[in-house]
Amino acid sequence: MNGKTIFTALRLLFLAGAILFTSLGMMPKKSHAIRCNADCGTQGPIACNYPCRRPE
Amino acid sequence: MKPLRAITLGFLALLFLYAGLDKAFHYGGFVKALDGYVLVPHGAGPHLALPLLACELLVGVGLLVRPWQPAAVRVATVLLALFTVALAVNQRYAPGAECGCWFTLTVSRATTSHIAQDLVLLALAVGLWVEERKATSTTDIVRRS
Repeated sequence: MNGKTIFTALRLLFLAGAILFTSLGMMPKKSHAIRCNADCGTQGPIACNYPCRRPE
Repeated sequence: MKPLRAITLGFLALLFLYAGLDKAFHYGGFVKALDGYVLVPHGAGPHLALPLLACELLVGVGLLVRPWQPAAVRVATVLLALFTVALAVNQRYAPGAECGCWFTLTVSRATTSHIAQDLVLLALAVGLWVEERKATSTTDIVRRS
C-alpha cells in the first residue's frame, strides 16, 4: 500500500467520523430540554432556547 | 475535481454555513455562550461574536467558490483548531458550559464528543490543505520543466 492510498483511506475515515459525530451532536438531548424548559417555563421536547424564548 | 475532495468541501461548507446561520438566528444565545468560554476574556463575547459569525459564513461560501477555496480551506483549518482548543480548555476548567452550537436543534453543553467532532473536522480540513499543497507543488514542477 503506498502513501497516497493510506492518505485517501484516512480521509475517508475522517469523513465518515465527521458525518457520524455531526449527526450525533445535532440530536436534541432530553436532559437539556428538561433544563431549558425548567429555566424558561416552557413545555415540550425542546420548546425553548437560550436566551429564554417562548415558541410562537 | 476528485469526488472525495468535492464531498469534503461540500460537507464542510454546509456545516460552516449552517453553523453561521444558526448563530445569526440565535445571536443573543451565541453571545451568552461565547462569554462562558474560559479563553474569551470577560465581556469580550459581544465584540467577538459578529466577526466569528462572519468568518464562519464567509468560509462556508468560500469553500463552494473555486477561486476562494485555497484561502477558505486555510481559514477553516485555523478556525477549527481554535474551536478545538477553546472546547478542550473549557472541558478542563469549566466543564458543563454551553457549547454555543446547533441552537436550533438542541441547547447543548460542550462535551468530549464535541472535541472529538472538532478534531475529526480539523483532520478533514488539514487533508484538504495537504492535498492542495501537493497539487500546487506538482504544478510548479511541471511549469519549471
